[in-house]
Amino acid sequence: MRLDFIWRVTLKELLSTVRDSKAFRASIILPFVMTPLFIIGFPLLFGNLFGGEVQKKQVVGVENIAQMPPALRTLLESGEGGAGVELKAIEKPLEAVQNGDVEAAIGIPKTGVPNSAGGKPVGIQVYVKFSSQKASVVREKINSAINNYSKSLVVQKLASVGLSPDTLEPVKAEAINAETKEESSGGIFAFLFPMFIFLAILGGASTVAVDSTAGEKERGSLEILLVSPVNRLEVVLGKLLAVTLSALFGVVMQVLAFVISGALSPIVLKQFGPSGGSDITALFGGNLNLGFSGFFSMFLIGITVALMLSGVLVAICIYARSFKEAQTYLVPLQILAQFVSIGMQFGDFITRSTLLYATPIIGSTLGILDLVKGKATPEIVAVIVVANLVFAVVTAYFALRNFSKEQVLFRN
Amino acid sequence: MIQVKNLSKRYSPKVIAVDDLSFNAQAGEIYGLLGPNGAGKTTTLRMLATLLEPTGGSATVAGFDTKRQPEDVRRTIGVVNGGMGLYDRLTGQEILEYFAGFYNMGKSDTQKRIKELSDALEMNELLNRRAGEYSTGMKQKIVIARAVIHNPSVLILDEATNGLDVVARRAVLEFARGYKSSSRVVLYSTHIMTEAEELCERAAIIDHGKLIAEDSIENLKSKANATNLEEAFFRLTRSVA
Ligand SMILES: Nc1ncnc2c1ncn2[C@@H]1O[C@H](COP(=O)(O)OP(=O)(O)OP(=O)(O)O)[C@@H](O)[C@H]1O
Ligand SMILES: [Mg+2]
Repeated sequence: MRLDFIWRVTLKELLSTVRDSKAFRASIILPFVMTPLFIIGFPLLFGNLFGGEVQKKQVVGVENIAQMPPALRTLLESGEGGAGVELKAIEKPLEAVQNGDVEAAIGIPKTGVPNSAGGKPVGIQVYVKFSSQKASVVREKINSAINNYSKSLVVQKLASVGLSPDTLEPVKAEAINAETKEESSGGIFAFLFPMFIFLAILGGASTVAVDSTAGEKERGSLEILLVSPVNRLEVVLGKLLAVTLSALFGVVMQVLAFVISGALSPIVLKQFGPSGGSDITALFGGNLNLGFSGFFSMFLIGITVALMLSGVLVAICIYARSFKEAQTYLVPLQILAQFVSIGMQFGDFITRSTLLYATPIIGSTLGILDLVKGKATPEIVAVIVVANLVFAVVTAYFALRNFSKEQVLFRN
Repeated sequence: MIQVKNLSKRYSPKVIAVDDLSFNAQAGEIYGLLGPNGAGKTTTLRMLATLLEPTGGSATVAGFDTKRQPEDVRRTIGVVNGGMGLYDRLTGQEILEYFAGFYNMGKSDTQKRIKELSDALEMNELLNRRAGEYSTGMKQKIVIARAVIHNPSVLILDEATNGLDVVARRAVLEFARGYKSSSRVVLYSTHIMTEAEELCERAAIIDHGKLIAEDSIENLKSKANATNLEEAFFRLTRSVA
């Protein structure tokens, strides 16, 4: 094995890749567009939409509006904090909501609503579409107005017998958020972080893998390369190295995009309050407050995944006779990686074990997710890295084996 | 310089591409490997170039056994195939330097050799342009220069004039003729008989993987009682089929 031959092959592939300006530019630009979009753009957009819904006066239908106590009406119309709602007399509350005539409706009983506590409790019906995210705002407004009205009656009653409102609640439960900073940053879209890393790896590696194997075959240059004194092991290692390096380039760009977006997001989202909109960002995947060791661990996992996937890519692509064929072969791999990442939305339910962390792709996805959520320990990272390295050797072996097979290189 | 002995290649139980083939090509000659499509020419040449392993028989190139000394064989051969595979995003100069490196040629040797070849093949203005911009004829010049960058004593050409116009074709034939010397052999594989007649001293005619005749061009013609090689080829391959 001659290292200078291996390096010669690698350099040529990298030069070729860098000069493929379209693919190269995409691998740089994509992470810097997609990442801020998810970390900053979505929270910004939804934060504005959500805030807008709170400020809006929704139209709420009321059945038997004449029976509605004026105090309740005031509470509904003035709102608390945000804007209240606009009341409109209707007859059929259920249909009105279903038809979309009103966003929600209130059914006041014909017999009326009491204006003092002590009698038989009376129910007020609130009609709203439960699964609608948007309707949850108006639902909350109505509920709180009714609760406040009910409370005011209780307070009046207590005062009439000389008791303070605190009598009702001598003991209170106080919930304290036990999440760490990183955990609270891993919101429902935290699964996007491993997905971005995988996409960056596959994006960076695929072009080179396809071009340097199936591409060389299709052009007929592979045959010429193999009749020169360089041997097949050197050719495979050179190509693997080139594929890995471009995958790593993708990882570096992606992690950099995370760092920059993470740093920018509190500044951009400041408008949502002093916490820098952290509630909203947390909901969408959160700031990446990983610190140096966190990013370093993510990078380590990234490198080893890149090594492992490079072997897979080269082994698969060399089998193909043309660019197109190779690209077709890669589609299932891309889908698999995304599938695993998306499945990790439910990562909290998965019982972690060493074996699971050592499983290719799944282990690394979990590991990145754990890193983002502040749950990864050095032991976990070590298990993932070692397992990935073992698989990297195995996949490299398969790549070499395919390169040594006549039936693969000279398929008819 | 090239000795082929009972060489066979069986791709699968049904496909026998080369069947017990034997021939010898001497230094100082251009040797033709002639046969119709699918005769087994490319398969034979790939075995000589150590790309494929024979399933039977043996071959030596410049004294090196293709099975036991594949790297020595590869060091002494240069190959031009009809594929014209070049790296589109590399310049001619870069492509030639890339390959020269595998023959452990030093920097100054490489530059000297590139200059020499660029004068001989009139491709000076090509060297600094990317191969993706070349015409077919231009490509073939770089392909040939790449094959002989290390001065191989054995030059193997497989359908080297495929897809070339008259001028480019002539240039290839001229180059092959010029490359021949007392210490070198050129193995020229083609199905175009006029090219072989013009170029080769001796030739092997193969069909369905089997040797049909091996002799000087003159003897092949007289043996078949033909006025030109094409006629001879036609009669010889037909008589077997
Ligand atoms: N990789 C392969 N696998 C299976 N069969 C093959 C393979 N390569 C070639 N063959 C078969 O072997 C036979 C000889 O093919 P070969 O390419 O050596 O012929 P050829 O003389 O070079 O033909 P042509 O003039 O068309 O280039 C053909 O029947 C071909 O179909
Ligand atoms: Mg052929």
